[in-house]
Amino acid sequence: MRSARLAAGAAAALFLAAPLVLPPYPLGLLLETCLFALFAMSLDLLVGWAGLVSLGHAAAFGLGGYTLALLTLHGGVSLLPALAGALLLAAAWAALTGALCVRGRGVGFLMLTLAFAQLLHTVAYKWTSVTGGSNGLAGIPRPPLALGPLGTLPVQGETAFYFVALTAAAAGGLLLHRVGRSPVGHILQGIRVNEARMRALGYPVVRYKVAALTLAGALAALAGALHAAYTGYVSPESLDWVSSGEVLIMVLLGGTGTLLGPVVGAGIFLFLREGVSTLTEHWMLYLGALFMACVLLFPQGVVGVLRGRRA
Amino acid sequence: MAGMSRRQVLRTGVAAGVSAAAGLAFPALLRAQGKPLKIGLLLPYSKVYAVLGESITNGMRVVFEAEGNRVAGRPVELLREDDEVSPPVGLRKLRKFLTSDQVDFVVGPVSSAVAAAIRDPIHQAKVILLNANAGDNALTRERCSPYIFRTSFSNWQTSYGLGAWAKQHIGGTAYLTGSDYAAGYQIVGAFKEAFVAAGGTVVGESYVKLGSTDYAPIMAKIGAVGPALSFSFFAGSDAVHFVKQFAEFGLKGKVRLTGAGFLVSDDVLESQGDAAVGAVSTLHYTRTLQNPQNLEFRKRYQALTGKPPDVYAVQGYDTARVILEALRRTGGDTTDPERLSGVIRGIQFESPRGRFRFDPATHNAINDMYVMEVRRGDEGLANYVVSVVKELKDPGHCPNITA
Amino acid sequence: MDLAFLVTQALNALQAGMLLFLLSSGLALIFGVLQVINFAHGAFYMLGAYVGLTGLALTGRFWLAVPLAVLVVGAVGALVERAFIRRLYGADPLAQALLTFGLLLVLDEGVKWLWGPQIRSLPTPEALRGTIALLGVSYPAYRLLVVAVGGVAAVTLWLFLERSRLGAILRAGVSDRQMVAALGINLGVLFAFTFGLGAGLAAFGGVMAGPIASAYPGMGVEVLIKAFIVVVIGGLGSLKGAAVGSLLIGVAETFGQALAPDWAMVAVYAVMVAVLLWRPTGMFGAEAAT
Repeated sequence: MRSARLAAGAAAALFLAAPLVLPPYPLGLLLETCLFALFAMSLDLLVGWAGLVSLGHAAAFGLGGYTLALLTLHGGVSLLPALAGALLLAAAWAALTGALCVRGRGVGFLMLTLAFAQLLHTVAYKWTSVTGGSNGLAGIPRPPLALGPLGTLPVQGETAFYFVALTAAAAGGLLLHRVGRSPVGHILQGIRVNEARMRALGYPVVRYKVAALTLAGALAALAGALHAAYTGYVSPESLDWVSSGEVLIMVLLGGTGTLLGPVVGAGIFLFLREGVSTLTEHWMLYLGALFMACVLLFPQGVVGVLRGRRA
Repeated sequence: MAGMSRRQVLRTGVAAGVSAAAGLAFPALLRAQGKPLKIGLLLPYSKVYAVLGESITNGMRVVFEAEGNRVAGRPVELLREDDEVSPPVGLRKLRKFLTSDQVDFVVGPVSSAVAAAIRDPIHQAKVILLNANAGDNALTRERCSPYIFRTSFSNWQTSYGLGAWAKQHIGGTAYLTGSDYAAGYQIVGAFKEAFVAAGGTVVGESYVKLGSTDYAPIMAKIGAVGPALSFSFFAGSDAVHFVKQFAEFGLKGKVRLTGAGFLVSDDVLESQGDAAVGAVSTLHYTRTLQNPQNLEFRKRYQALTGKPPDVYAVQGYDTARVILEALRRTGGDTTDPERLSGVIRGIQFESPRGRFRFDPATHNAINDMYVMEVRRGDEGLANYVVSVVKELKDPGHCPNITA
Repeated sequence: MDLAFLVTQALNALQAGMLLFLLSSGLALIFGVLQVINFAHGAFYMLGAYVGLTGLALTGRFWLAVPLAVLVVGAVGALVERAFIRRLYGADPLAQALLTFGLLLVLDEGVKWLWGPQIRSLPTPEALRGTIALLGVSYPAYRLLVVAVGGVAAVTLWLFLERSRLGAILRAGVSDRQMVAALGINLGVLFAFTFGLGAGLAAFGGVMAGPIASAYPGMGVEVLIKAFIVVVIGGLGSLKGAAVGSLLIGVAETFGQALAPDWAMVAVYAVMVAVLLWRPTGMFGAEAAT
């Protein structure tokens, strides 16, 4: 317990000190890691707690990105309202499609989430006048943080925006941690382990599932919106099933049901991709082999192994 | 030293002084001379467009290796990063080029979607981008930049020239098809503009998902409508499948196959085989061009890679020539982006594709567009020139360059 | 929209459906008997095309390349089952999924390593390069062959499962694995055989599709989605479902492409959503115990 606290403290210190130590390119990678960590943690709520394996989670991520892009490009909106818009729209999407998707079982659910995400992808691809079509939307500004009567913080700089991303990821992580430990979290886990029993006990299973999907969607949109603001660009690629697959990989690699696992998984995936892809074009092969090794030797994921958990 | 005359002391002293001064300056001289010329290649080296990335790179290597990999006294370093034809990946790699590697030039990309994504960071960082392929019209129109030059083509250029010729020499009705993304719309649109202006009628227009392998449904439609000619924009594997299936469905004898040059360009002809014979297309290069630069280029490219060159190789070649010329004119200095921009704007030379120069108002290459027909000759299948549209300039307006 | 157009599109749909059936029948079988969701299945389809390409280069005959591809990839499938898949029976389905997904990545890249990243064309066999006049239209001969071969394969598979002893064992394995083991049948061999058979079927689809769709890296991943759609709407583990589903998706995709080409995939997904909302476990799926 104490060693875990120590480790957490050390990690936090590293993250906070990073802008002082790291040159711009690795700092940028760390920033993206924060955002993808948030994205992956939100998926873990679905996969690790509720047992809902979604191959359409990137829809919420991309929707968040597009919403922020449109609000800031056309409305000149500042950071908080833009994020609020992104979260609300994505939550609505997640709730509506989620209600339909949960009618499928197992692989059926998986394929339904994929179908809706692909539908959104096609809309983004074809609706050129709004979404920029296949070329996407470029030139997305990093909006300032307007705090009403308290003034406006310019957070557009590299270091300042890093802290914005870090704050968002930390806040999201904390929220998920709380939810995970709450009665709601336990009910979700119960649904994952034995849905029929939970239903027999009188729990409105569908409602809990949709609630989980909505929360996860909102947090994914937060990550997506900040990512669009950071890179200044959003395209249909952010929505497609490849992106959904990538975030699922991050969760599974790091260890489901642990919240820290997805964070580690996001880091490993991004740094592997950046580092190894410069060395060899066949980095996917090593990634694939890594999975197979992980699954056969460490089924609980990296973090699961470190904690000595049983799967 | 008692034995030395005053003159000797003077001479020795001056010599010593000069040496000392030179010795102090020497490292600085060395540094300026030896500082590597870093060129970031943001190209696809995997997935569907891997061959294009390799061709462009090899075209550049032909130029640099002939110069002993030194330009204006600086050793050339080609830094390859795979953009995986994905804008987010391209952006990440670009950031690496700009912040970590501190490149002097960025070359690429192949995909217009990646180009759209990197346009703003390049413009803000004021690093010269030599676009060696991405054809999106907007890149040298509304979204142009003083620091972005295109050595390849604009989508408009690749098909506009064919419109009038097709109406005159083939027939008055056309069915148009293309890949379903920006390039498809722009290239098909330009042909349509010219064809209709020349008096032709478009009897159908369909866009197919990028990467489709089965064009059977489209073939049935074309067969049912029965136009005089079919015009298509497809590239790479899509072009292979379309042309092969066009012949398989028996359309080859009945409807004339035409398209933007990528439909039957050198890189896909071999896979298409006889299905491509007789197809008419336009492009700014074919390996059968008879000018002395091309004959020389073919020899050197074949020696370097073991394969004949294609249009992407020429684009790489011309890009490297531009870099060479630019550095010769600035004496190896790449620290002033405004100066480089002005210098590059005025560069002209004889290229394997014909005379190479930029339109100073848009920074897009002005191309001779060749109307070509696929024939089987002594070197197998190739595109042979039938007609030329000389010095085709993209008509777009660029608001961001004060020439 | 005249009759000739409809007939041609119907033939297109049939041909697409047949190829899809060859691919998804293997997937259904593997899930039915082994309860494994095989993400690597698309890679076997792709390998079939590539091995067929090499076989053609070696023997010069397409008709030799086809069985070569089927046997080689089938053997690879059986080996993969023995080496990797069997370690995860009874484990978390998520772990199985990740394992087969990793395998997909390895095979997809491996193909690039061995054969290069560019697309490789498979030439249509000489005898079948022309068109055949049929039902008032000119249709490519090779595609007609695909329809015929697919049909024969489907019937053979059905006969094998319904009428042969091995088929009976396989069907028993779907319903009650423990009983099969209790009857003294070596489950290990049975499972390896099933996985190999599934892989071989996928490879058969891949090599037959070769002259139409060529061989290129990434093709495995693309067809995988369609195969999953078919199996999900047909019902996991059901061959009848795979057959009906393949046809349904073939029609949706073909007519979608003909009428609104840029929305063709949406049509496919729409069909899937409609079927799943009507029957969440697929048209012929059993109520599987989760």
